[in-house]
Amino acid sequence: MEAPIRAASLRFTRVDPSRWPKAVRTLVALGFNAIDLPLIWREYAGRDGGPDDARLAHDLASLLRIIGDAGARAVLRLGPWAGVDVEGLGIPEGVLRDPAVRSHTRRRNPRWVSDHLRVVPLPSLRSETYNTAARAWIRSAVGAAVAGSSGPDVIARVLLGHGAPTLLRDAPDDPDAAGVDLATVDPATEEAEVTRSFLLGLASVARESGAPAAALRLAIQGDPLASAAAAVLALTEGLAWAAPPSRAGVRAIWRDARLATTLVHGHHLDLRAGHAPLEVPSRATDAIDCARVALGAGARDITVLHGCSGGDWVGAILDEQGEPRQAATRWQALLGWAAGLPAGVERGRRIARSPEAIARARAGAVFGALPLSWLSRWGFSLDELSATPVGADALESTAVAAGEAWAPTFTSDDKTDDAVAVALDPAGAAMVRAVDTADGRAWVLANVGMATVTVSGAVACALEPGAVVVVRDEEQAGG
Amino acid sequence: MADGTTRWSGMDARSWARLVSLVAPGLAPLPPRHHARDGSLPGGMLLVAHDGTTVLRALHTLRGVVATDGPWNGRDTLAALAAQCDTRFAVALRRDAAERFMERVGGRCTTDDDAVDTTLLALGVLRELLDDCALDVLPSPLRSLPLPPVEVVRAAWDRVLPDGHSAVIALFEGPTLVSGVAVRRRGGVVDQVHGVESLRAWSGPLGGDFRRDYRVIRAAVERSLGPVAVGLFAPEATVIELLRTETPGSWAKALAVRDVMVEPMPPWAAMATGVSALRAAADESRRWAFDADGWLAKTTRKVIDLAGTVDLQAVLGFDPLAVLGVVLRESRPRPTQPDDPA
Repeated sequence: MEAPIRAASLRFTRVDPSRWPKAVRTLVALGFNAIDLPLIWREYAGRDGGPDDARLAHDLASLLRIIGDAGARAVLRLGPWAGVDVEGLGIPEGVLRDPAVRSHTRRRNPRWVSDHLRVVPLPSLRSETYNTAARAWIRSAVGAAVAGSSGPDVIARVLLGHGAPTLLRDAPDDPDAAGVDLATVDPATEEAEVTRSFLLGLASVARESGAPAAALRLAIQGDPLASAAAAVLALTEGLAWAAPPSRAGVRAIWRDARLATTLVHGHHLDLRAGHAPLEVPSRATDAIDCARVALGAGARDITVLHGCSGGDWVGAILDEQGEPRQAATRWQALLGWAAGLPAGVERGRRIARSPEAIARARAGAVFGALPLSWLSRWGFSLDELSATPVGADALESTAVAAGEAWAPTFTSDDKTDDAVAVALDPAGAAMVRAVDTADGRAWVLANVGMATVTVSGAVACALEPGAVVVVRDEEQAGG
Repeated sequence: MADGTTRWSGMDARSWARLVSLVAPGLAPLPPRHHARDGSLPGGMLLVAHDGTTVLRALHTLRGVVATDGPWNGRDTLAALAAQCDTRFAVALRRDAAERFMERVGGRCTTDDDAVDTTLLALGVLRELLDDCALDVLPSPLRSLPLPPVEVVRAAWDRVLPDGHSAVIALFEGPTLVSGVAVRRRGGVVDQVHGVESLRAWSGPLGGDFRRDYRVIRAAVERSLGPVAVGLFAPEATVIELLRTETPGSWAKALAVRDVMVEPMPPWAAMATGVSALRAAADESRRWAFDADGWLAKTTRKVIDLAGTVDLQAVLGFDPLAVLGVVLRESRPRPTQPDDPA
């Protein structure tokens, strides 16, 4: 079985190339086994408007060689809109300003999205011009990566799609009205179909350009339970999505972490170390807490954004000189602990979900056109935001009745989640760290799932079925 | 103002959170367990969706769904729901509010709008929605803020931070520089924003007394970014206290006794720091202030001399510091951040 991906991103265009080797080596020394490289389309736009293939090939060849020499693998994040920390959505100015590319509101006004303190027109996934330009970018980027790759296994993942939630519209009154008669279609279903076509189009181009098919992941932002497109795509494709911020609370983090292992095998989970300067602040330990929950839940592939940001970011693991910040040692401890988790235990189960039910729930969103992705930053689920709940619990019941395990089946030291009690051995200095999937139990036993239960004497710790239990040696785990 | 070209540098999570939560304590990051929706936490924000007659859903950012299907009677309902959730900040949206916002902004924005244009345009649309009762907010002072024209904001901005100049805030906890920011304006926009890591790197080792260290930090910023238009150097706790106080002239008093250092002190800063209160008291103290010698008298005279030259309240139509004080007094104290590494 392929080793799990534990990646940290290197925002290499903001870091002096002379510091690339040091940054990569430092991240690898912390325990990351892959380096996530966000390739920003806008930064590689040539004078003719097309991709600057020569510079792209030069940079990628250098980076892939450095990564290979460090014994790591590469995760290529190609966008077209690769993340939130980019100017102009990461899309070349010429493309962004092209009227044929724009998304429109119901009354045919251009749809604008926040770009730091100004706004820029939102591209339409339905626009043929935009699709053509985006595919040309993907073709160039993948071609340069494949040509610059020093070995067949250096490229571990290729992530395609938009890294910010607003581009995949997710509210029923917020459809992209560009080139479609909204009176004749169901907006929510139509949106899901357009998103699906856009992402599959990018994937097709990437495959034609030489990207390993098994490495492709399609980016879905926001609450994946609230995405009809995700429900459809997950049946056939690997997905990548972002965990909600810690502000959303442990339940939302847990829900997404659990989905990362239960929706379908092979998902990639993005966690953010820090935040953009104009976003709500987070703690340096937030991403570590999220990662611990995700790894405990069985997430195999994660990227920590931003391992080394080179600026324009608050709270990256490495500072702008590539030196580790204080929180780096905690990442090192966490990754050391994760390396000791049992490998080869497949904890995921495919859960069939109904895209139509999700679309109906979206149509019943009580906040109208206020984007669900915006509201989900506080962990609000689609059921809470809709007058027509999708019924996540019902989905869970259906899955269980169909013989599929909703909760991850976690095994450690011969204990399974069917056990209702875990006997602790004080002599072994073992610690129980648990996240309970049942209501409210996470905080009885744990803080973000990983609090310490001090063991004195013979202790039995009751757990509900479905809980994740990790028994470990505290000394080996490193705090 | 900042835009997509602004370079942000030298920020670790802890010091930046301290700086932001100084003026917005509600944004202070909390451990995830505080967002577990256990129903007992005060604070947070309430979001209410209604259709004009019925509350469709009331969501609290810490507690989840708190109400559905109740009658909607405007601000009274919003205030009651906020009180029920033990929060002072609430937003009510009529079901069509978001779409109206998008349509109106969509019809008025252009690709050439800068940050000032865009911000004022969005605030203007929000004001229209408030007037249409499609949007409502608590606390009330946020509703009544005047919205100055673009030209006025630009003029005020030119006075606060002239082009080619920089500004610095350095906050201390004991002898340690724990938070701060330095910004530079060039070409009409803030082109560089630096956090405390940059300040430390530029300044080198500090003595541990902000009343002396401010000279070192100011000189370091001037070497790295250019002339400093205004600098605030103070213990963090003192600034928190001054921002929340209702006592007139508190800033002026703190300046006079060097509890905070504002160096250099531009005219607008003299006004904003409550020098009007000092001026009112100056009738009593003028003789003493001008006859006496020593640093206290010099500082007081300096502040009095600057008073009245630029009044941001007169320019903008409101006193930014006073508005901030109202919001902060409505807010809960900033939570501590134990055990969070930089």
